[in-house]
Formats: sequence, C-alpha cells, structure tokens
Amino acid sequence: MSNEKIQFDVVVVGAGLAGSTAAAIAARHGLDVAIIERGRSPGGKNFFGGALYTHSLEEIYPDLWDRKPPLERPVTETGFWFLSKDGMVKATVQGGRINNEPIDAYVALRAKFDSWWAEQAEEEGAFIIPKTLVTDFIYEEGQVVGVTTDRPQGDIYAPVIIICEGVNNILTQKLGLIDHDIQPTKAALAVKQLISLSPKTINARLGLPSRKHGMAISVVGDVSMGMPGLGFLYTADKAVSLGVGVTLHALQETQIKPYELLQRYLEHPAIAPIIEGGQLMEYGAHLIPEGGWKEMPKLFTGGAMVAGDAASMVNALHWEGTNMAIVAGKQAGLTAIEAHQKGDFSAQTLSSYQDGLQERFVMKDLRQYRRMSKFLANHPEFMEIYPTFLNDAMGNFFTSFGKPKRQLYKEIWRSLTSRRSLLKVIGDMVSFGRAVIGI
Amino acid sequence: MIHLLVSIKQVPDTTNIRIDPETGSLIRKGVPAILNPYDAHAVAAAAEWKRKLGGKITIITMGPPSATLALQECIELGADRGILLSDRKFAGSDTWATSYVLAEAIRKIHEEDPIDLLFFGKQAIDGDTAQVGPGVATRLEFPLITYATNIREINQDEGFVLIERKTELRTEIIRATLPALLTCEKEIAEIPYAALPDLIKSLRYETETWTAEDPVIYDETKIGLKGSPTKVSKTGTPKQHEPGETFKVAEIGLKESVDTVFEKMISNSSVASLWE
Amino acid sequence: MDKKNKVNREDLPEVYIDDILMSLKYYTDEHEFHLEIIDPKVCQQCVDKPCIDFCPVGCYRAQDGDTVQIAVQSCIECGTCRILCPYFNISWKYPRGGFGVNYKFG
Ligand SMILES: Cc1cc2nc3c(=O)[nH]c(=O)nc-3n(C[C@H](O)[C@H](O)[C@H](O)COP(=O)(O)OP(=O)(O)OC[C@H]3O[C@@H](n4cnc5c(N)ncnc54)[C@H](O)[C@@H]3O)c2cc1C
Repeated sequence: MSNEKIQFDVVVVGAGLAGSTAAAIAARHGLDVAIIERGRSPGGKNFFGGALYTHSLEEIYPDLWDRKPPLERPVTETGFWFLSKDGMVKATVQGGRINNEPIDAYVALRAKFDSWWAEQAEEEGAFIIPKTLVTDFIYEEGQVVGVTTDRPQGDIYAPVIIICEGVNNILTQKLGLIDHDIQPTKAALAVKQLISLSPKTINARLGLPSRKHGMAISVVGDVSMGMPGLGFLYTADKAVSLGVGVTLHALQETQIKPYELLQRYLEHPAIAPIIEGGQLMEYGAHLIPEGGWKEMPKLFTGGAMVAGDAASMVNALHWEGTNMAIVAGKQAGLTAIEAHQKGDFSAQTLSSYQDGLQERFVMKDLRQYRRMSKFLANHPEFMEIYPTFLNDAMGNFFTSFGKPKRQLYKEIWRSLTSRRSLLKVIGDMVSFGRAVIGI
Repeated sequence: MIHLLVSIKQVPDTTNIRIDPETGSLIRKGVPAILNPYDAHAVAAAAEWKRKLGGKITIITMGPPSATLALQECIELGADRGILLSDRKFAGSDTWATSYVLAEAIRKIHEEDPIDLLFFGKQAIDGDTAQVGPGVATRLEFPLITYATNIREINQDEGFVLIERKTELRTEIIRATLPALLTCEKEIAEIPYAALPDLIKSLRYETETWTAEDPVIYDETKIGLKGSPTKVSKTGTPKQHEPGETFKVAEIGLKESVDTVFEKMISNSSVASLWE
Repeated sequence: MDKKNKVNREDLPEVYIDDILMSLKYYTDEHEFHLEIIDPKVCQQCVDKPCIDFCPVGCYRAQDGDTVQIAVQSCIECGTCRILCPYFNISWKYPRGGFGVNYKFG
C-alpha cells in the first residue's frame, strides 16, 4: 500500500448532471480530473420526474445525437392538467413549434442517463471514483486544497474542488457557503412511481400517435389536496412516471404520508384508467430545492465552487433544474481551467464563475422568479380553488345544453366568487404576475 | 513475504433473479454479475494475512471478458495481480474441465513464483457444486481443507497452516503442510471497506488475459464442452407450490401473527424435529 | 388556520409501503447504520411523532406506543427526516460509499 498523496488538478464531488459536466469540460481541456461519487456507479442515487432539455445537452456535446444518448420519448405535448376531485381540465400544447426537430425536451430515466453522461466525461478523460463518500475538506492557509472521504487513507488533494452534491448540500454548509440547512418552506418532497405499460397502451390511452411522441404534464389541483405542490406525468418509452411533490412545510402541517398522497393521485378517476394493468417498476423519492435565488449559497470561496441543486439552482415552476445544473457545471469547469492557467485558485479568481453565470438564464431566471416559492406558499388557492373552479366552469360550459347562456355565465361567475372574492381574485392575479415577471 | 492465490468466479446475482410468472423459469436477462460472495470472503482473508505477513495476492479466474469486473473487485479488496483465463475454447467446461484449466494455470504461476496458500470459496452460488476447489487440490496434489472458517496460523518458517473448519457436528482444527488449498466459508473474514488507494488501483486495473495457448498450452480434448464428462440430459422447472395462506401483520397484530405461524408450523410438523 | 383538519385524511387510501419498496434495490451495510436517533427519550416525549408520517419509505415506526424505531435498510437517503424532525433528534448521514439505495431507473 502506498502512502503517496493522491493528487488531481480538479476534484468534482458528485457524478450527477452538474458534476459530470464540470468534469467533462475541465478534462477536455487536458486537466487531470477526478469525480467522486458515493453511489455504486454514477446514476444509482439519482432520481427525478422528468425531462431533460436539449439545449443544455447540445451545449456540452454538439455531436450529442451521434453519441446515442439513452433518452426516452421526446416531449411533443406539454402543459397542465387541472384536477378537481373527480374530473380534469387539460390545457396542453402540441404540434407547432414543439414538434420542430430537434425536440426541445426529452423524457429520461436518470439512473440510465446519468451513468451515460458520466461515461461521456470519462471519454473526455475524467477519472470516476465511485462508492466513495466525500465527508469534509482539507484546508491550507484558509484555502480549500482537498477533500476527505469515508475510506481508509481517503484524502484526495486538488487546488480546486467543484461541489455538485445535489439538494442535501451538507458539504456546502460545512464549507460555510450557507449558514443554515434546508428550511421546510424552501424544499419539496417528490414521490414517484414508474409504471410499466406497453408502448401501444401508452399511445392509445394518452392519444399519442407513436413511440416518437411523448408527454410532460404538470398536474395542478386535487393532486396536492390543497397543499402547495404539483403532480406530474411523463411518458418514458415503455413506462409512465407519475408523481407528486409538496413542500416539506405542508407535509409537516398536514402529517399525511407522502406515499398515500401519491396513491390517491394514482387512484384519481381521471388518472387510474391511464395506468390500469401497469406494473410498478420502481418507487422513489427526492427533495427539490425551491428556495431559488433567496436560498442560493455563496457560489465560491478560495479553492472551491458549488453548482446545481447544491446551489439551489432550480426553477420549480418550470421544472428546470437539470439544465441549470449542466450550465452551471460547465461554467465551474471553465473557471477551473482559468484558475489553472493563472495558477491562482483564490476566491478572486473563482469569482469569474459567478460572473459567467450572471450572463446566463440560470441567474437571470432565478432572480426573476425569486418571489415564486413564497407566492405559492401564501396562495394555496392556486393549488385548490382555481383548478376546481376551472373544472366547474368547463363542466358547466359544455353541459349547458338547453339552458339560457346568460344563466350559464352567471353560474360560472358565481362558482368563482363563491370561492373567492373578486378583489382577492384580482390580487392573486397581480401577485402571480409579479412572482413570474419578477418585479 | 508470502504469496497467496485466490481463485474466484463471477456469478449472476441470484438475489436479483426474478421468476417469469408465466413459464416459471428464471429470467436470466439483465441479472447483474457479481463476485461470488464466498470468494469475496476468501479474498478478504488473504488480504488480512497479506497485511499481517507482508507479501502479495494473485487472483485467478476463468470466465468471459466481462469477468474483469470481478477481478477488479478483488484488487479493490487488496489483491495485487489479476489473471483472467478467457478463451472460446474454455466455454462449456464443467467442474472437471474447469479444475483442469485452473490447475494448469496455477501450476504455471507456482513455477514462476511459488505459492504458499491457495484460497477458493466454499462453492459458487450459481452451480453450488463445491467441486472445483477440491478438483484443483487433487490435480496439484496439495493438501485440501474444505469449509474453512478461520485461519489460526500461517507458519512459513516451518511450512504449515492451522485452520479451523466447520462440519455439521463440530469444529475441527487441521494442521496442513504448505502449500495447501482452502475452500472458505463466509466466516473466514469480513469484507473490508477498501482503502482509497486500493479502490483507485482497482479502477486503473487492466486485464491480464491468458488463453488456451498462451502462456499455458492446454490439451484441447480436456477443456470446454468436449473435455466435460458431465452431460445435462434435461432441465425442467419444479412445479410451483400453491401460495400459502396470507396473514397481514397490519390486520391481526404482531403477536397473533407469530402465534399463528408457529401453530401452523407445528401442526404441519415442519418444525417438530427442532423441538425434540 | 389548522391545516391538519383542512386535509381530509379519510380521503387517503391505505398503502402498505413495504409492498412498494419491493421495487427498490438496496445494498445494505451490515456494519454501520447511517441514521440514528440521538436521544430516544426525546422521541418518547414527542407527541405527534411526525417522522412516522413524513418519511416517504416509512422508515420510522412507533414501537410499544411511545418509542420510535428506524428501519435503516429501507432508507432512500432523501433528507426529509433531517429537516422535519421537530427536535432535530436524528443524526443523519449518507450511507458509506456504495451502500444504500441503488435506483435502476431513477
Ligand atoms: C421528482 C423530481 C422531478 C424533477 N423534474 C425535473 C424536470 O423535469 N426537469 C428538470 O430539468 N429538472 C427536474 N428536477 C430537478 C433536477 O432533477 C435537479 O435539479 C438535478 O438533478 C440537479 O442535478 P445536480 O447534478 O445538481 O444534482 P444531483 O443530480 O442530485 O447529483 C448529485 C450527485 O452527487 C452525489 N453526492 C452527493 N453527496 C456526495 C458526497 N458527499 N460524496 C460523493 N458524492 C455525493 C450524489 O450521489 C449524486 O450523484 C426534478 C427533481 C425531482 C426530485
């Protein structure tokens, strides 16, 4: 056994999307990069809804399609389903610009995809060390110079560490980049079942023309039982993903069991027929950081940077997290290269990571949406009253045969105002608008 | 300095096998391959003694190119060298032919760099024959100790080992002259959480492959299907039992459930002998 | 507003979580538990024991009425308990490298 110091140019913590991207960029430039991953292999710990965004994948690998990424169906129909207790109103788009090749988004299964994404980094020259948990940092003169791991003789040195540890940002906290753990109002717990069905069945039940068509649906209303939260449905090739996420705060307040909430969604009269006869392939649960801009840690310090979920880079309303993780990983990789060129790993040099991100949608969107999580927490009506109203209204509208239509509109109007005063409705719209536009 | 050799096998992870509900047969597709668990413990035991005495560990396996992964795992556990015996001509070997292939390779290693002690797992979890270790010992004319549970002493100066072995009735302590061959139970050593330098070494491991011609030239009539006297004339799937009665703990409570199960077992006399 | 009353629990189906967990693959660490209750007495005094509900794999189970037991081997490492235990009475770590849940699909 050697007692030599284990040394790399860059150490990346976590082989998720942010981590494998950062490593690929730095390794492509010729740096000696190690990615340390606690899972048995990259992807084994990773879990999402969900869909990946083509723009971010192609930004890292312009020859993406030659590399045959293990993606499931392209998203050719997307939008909202509004659930009432026993009904559903659909508001989705399909065709038009959504169908333009390459399709903007693809459904993926992360265990498969992340393992492939890490292989691409390996091909660029990164060295993956799996089955190893990073536990802390090594400092010299106030600067991070390495990490400790949970293995005997487990110290690894590098002048720059890129932390891509995901939502449970224990190391980011240890490093003092943020002074508190995740708050219950600033994260959602999502639970999901992947249910296998034949491609034919999926197509028939969801009205998809072929296996080359797929759906990404956000489900609002009864699915979260009035709590701030969203349900979702994604179509893999031979399976559908159905899940629901609610804030930790809501779980705390209501004391419901997440898997019962999910089961209730699966048994909803509008959902159950979709999955009837399907087999449970895998269940899982994962946190989603929802604090956005307001919960963002300091992004760098001497010898270290943080990217992806660990840095709260998620736009929860748009289900954007993967693309932010990838773009931030890339930026951190570029900054590591710059630091090596300068031979200087101080906070000042690494600050160009943040400067770079300011120019991208990552920081721009997160800033713009900075009021969203508070908005949703304070406006539970968006999760309950409006979806129910919408179901009532549409239901009325399309069953009002032989009724004077003036009466119809009155009824619809009453069904709204009996739930919420007109003034409040206007107030809701204004604050929703503000939360989205970010003024 | 001691030279330890461990012979290992890559096997399908039988804890991961599912039964096809329609045909009742095993679904082999997509089952991950793992290092045979008994072999992993054997490697761990070798690594413990390497730490104590100083020296090196050679791993040998016969299998397809993908068996590299199992060799890699052994390096992670502390082995130094991994040799893969891989050739189409070996394919289809039964335990007879396999022990010939391994014995000849080991003879070659032993000539170049004498081996003190050889480790095998008790058996492979896919075939459960427990024949290959004894077959190799016989061919090499080394003393054989099966079902080893503990290595008390390795004395290189005087050339013996003291081994505890488990039988159904008692534990025996055997003294054998070196080089000797053990087949190991899991108790022989706990699998260590590998040190980082060993893990990194395993990740950088590049396969050393031996074929049917190089460096050992095998007699082709003794290897592969041709060299295997075992003939499988027919395979079948056992009839599935009717599922038994189901009692939900959540419905009838823990105590009631345990009592019920015990009553059933006793009334079926399936546990009677244990009580006597 | 009392949210506990707001959600109609009657509305929720009963689920046997263990059946659902059959779909998951774990590599169980026989030697080290990564979750531990720091002070069992605190759990005895905790009236609501919300962990029994919020854990998405039902790791936390009431024992003899007032103590709480952890079924560590079912943990999927999400972090909810660390954040939501009202007394911060759970020592939370990730399992050692290579152990714990291993998603096949994710
Ligand atoms: C249910 C759900 C649905 C979602 N849907 C979408 C969607 O449709 N579209 C979208 O863009 N985003 C979606 N997201 C968000 C998206 O999944 C995340 O934003 C994204 O995965 C973040 O990537 P990351 O690389 O930062 O973190 P992760 O993917 O979580 O990767 C972190 C990695 O670090 C490893 N790790 C952690 N700590 C250590 C340590 N100490 N030592 C070693 N390794 C460590 C982990 O094992 C893991 O591999 C969804 C999230 C959830 C939960």
